Amino acid sequence: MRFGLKRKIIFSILGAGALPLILGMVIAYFQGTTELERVIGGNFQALAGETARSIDLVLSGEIARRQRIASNESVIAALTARNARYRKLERTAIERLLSEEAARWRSGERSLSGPQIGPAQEVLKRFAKTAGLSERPGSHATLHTLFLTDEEGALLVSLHSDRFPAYRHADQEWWQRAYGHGKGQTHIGTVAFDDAFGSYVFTLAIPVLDESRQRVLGVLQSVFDAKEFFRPAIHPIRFGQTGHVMLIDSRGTVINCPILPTGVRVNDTALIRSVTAEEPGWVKAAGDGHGGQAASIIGFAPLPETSATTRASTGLLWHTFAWQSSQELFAPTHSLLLWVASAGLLAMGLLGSIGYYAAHRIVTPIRHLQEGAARIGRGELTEPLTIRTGDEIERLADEFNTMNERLKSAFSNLEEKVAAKTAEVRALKEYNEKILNSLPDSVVILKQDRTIEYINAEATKVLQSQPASILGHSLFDLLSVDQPTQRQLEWEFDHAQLTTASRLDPWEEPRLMQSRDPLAPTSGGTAEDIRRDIRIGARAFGHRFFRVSSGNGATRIGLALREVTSERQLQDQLIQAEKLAGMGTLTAGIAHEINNPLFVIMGLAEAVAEEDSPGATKAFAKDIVKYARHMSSLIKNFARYATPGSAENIRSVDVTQALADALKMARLAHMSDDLTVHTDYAPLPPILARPEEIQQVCHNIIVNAIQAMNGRGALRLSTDHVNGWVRLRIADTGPGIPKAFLGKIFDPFFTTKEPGKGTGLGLNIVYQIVTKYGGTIAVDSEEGKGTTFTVRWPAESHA
Amino acid sequence: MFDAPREQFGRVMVVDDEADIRKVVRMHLEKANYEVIEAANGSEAIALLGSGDNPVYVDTILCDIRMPKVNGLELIEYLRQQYPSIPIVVLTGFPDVQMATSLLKQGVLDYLVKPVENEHLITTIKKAVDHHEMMKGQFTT
Repeated sequence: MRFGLKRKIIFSILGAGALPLILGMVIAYFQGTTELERVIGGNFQALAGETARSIDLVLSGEIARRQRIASNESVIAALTARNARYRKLERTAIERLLSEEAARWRSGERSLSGPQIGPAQEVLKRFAKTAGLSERPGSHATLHTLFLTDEEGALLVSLHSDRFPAYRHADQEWWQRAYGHGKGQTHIGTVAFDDAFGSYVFTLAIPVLDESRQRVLGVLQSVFDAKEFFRPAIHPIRFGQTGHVMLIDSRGTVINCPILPTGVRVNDTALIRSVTAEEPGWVKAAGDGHGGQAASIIGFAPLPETSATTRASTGLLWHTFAWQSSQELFAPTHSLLLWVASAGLLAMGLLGSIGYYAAHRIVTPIRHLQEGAARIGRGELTEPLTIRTGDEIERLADEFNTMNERLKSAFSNLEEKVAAKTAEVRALKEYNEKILNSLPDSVVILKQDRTIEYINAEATKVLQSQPASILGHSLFDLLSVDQPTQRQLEWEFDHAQLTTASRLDPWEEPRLMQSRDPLAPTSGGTAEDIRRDIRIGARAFGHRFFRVSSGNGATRIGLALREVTSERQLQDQLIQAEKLAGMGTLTAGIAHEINNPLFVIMGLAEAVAEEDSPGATKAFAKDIVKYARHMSSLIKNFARYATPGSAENIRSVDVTQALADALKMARLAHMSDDLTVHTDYAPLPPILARPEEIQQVCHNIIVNAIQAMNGRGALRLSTDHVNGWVRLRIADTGPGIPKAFLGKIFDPFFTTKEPGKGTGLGLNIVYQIVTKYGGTIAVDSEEGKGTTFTVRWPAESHA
Repeated sequence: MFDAPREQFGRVMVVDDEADIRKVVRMHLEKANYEVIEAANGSEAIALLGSGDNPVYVDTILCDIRMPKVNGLELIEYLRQQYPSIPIVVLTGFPDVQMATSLLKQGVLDYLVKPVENEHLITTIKKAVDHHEMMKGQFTT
């Protein structure tokens, strides 16, 4: 049991609970994170917007205060007075004048000359005092310097006089934009490093207009320290550990930041592009603008008022930018994840515990049941199972108890039954062996590989060996038979294996053995049943194969052998006896055939004795010799035929010769001799047989034919050779055989002659001899027309 | 024995399918002063006896049994019906007692088995011819 029921239940519960739980947690986590980002982003955006407005206010305040200076009467008067001197002069004269004044300024002559400069100087000083502007340039102050130029960009009034500022500013960008060719506009410059102050500064240039406010008289220039100026608006805004607001321009230059130094360029162009839109907003960006690449949320907003001025002045927008480090920013979501995960684990643990408890409740009774069933299986359980769960398991236990009771009663007498059956089987086995060993026939059971599995007592005698020494050996190695018989037996064995069981039904009549009975009816015999005797030494055996199944499904082939030696001897004697019985009729014919020439010889001899003429005597003598020779050959033929056959003289037989010899003899058997004989003999291969028996076959058929024709008619003899068979045909023109008799003519003692005229064995002997040598015989007869016998034997080379 | 002047004692018809048998029989019978006429088988014999308006006159018929066409048995049966007065002597190679008995019952005068001694043949023929003479006398008187 690889996975116990308990484990399966726990896993099922965990599976059912954990999947939705985990899914829910994941959804909650992502939903929460997104929501959090949205809130943070909104807050940052609001913060950036708020900061932008406050910076805007500061800048607007500065601009307003300078515009108040620009509209001061003293300032306008001083500028008007200064500008008046240029009216009378040519351009070159103006340039020369200004060059001289500039040279004097650089050489250290720090006093600025001109009508009404004093009151204007006073205005600037007063403003500087209220604005907290230091007299010394470069100190940590928001405003580094403040000065006034005329319409030619030449310095008119300055808070400082120590090498600063430069005397002429007409070629400066801020001056040209603020002057605007006399039209003027407020200018806010870019943040840039100023060597004179050693810090990043930006300029604010305000045009001073005349009283009609039509024409620009000069420019009021202020230089602010970028870091110090925005510090009060930016630096106090801190949240968390790292959260802060910064001010950048749309090129990415940091104008003010509590962390980054002013003037640093943020190189992340993608980030800069996403946070310098013209409308306030927030983004979730891949970089934080502070060197990190972690995801961060950035809120941003352009300065609403100032941006218009900076855009007009430099093409740049100024943005505030609220940022917090991603680590700190996402800390709440990380802790959310942690919480959710912890809750999930806790839930899993709870589920597991519940599952364990449930599984324990379910499995424990099942375990009891299983142990009980195992004990029933081993036959150990005597007490009924007690499981009180009140559910299906309890009912199952009850069923087990019922089953146990039934089994107990069923098994109680099983052992006696087994013992009885074993004894019965043993008795049956002994019974079978007794029967088989008492049989006069041999029985051998073969496995499919032809080895011997069982052999009965008679068979061991036949094989002349002990059972122990031949079991497991191949039968065909042990049988000492000739080659053709061995081949035939092997073929039959293979055939028996392939044949269906019904073909070799054990209760089928053993036709083979029956047809070998010398006196048994022969009708129904077909070529299929003709099998050779098995000759082992001097003994002859009939045989048949049969199929048996050996209990475990395997098929065995049995071979039954019955000794037919005495039957063969009887058959041989019968064949001989029939021949001798026919000899009586034959003798008369023979006698006639001998007596005729003898009579002639005697008569001629007498004539010779009385004859004096030598010529006539010689003629008589010649005739005498001729007849004597005729007699001699006749007697030889008869003697050959009458010789009883011996068992050993089977040899090659020329069937044509036997047929011709038989014809000569058979003709003598009838007193009428009015036969026309047609012969058609083909060259034949020999067959293996006893020659006198083949002649006997021909003789019996021809005698029958002559008798049927009553000595008158045509006899047609032919031989041929087809497919390894030697065939001979004997046809007569007698009255034919009635259909009713056709099936019986080969039966022993069947005769149509009157009693005493025949033995009734002639054709039966023919049949026996034909089949004895593996041949077949067929009869074809038509009443009134004649009868044809066809006999076939296998040629010697095919035997 | 036959010291009388040579005269014909009677006419004998020899029926046998073998010419040499007929020749030997003729030799014996002619020496004993019998006239011999020959027939090769039964049908030839019947033809000779009944040919035309002037049938051949014979005193005795010496006949074989085993012959082609009409054999001896058939010939004898015919002769006993048509010419009951002519004595028949059978001369055959078949030493068959049953057949001999049956033939004798049919009126055959004698049954000779080849090879027969010359004297025995002549004696039998003489007896037959004499018998025919006697029968003829009975019929004519």
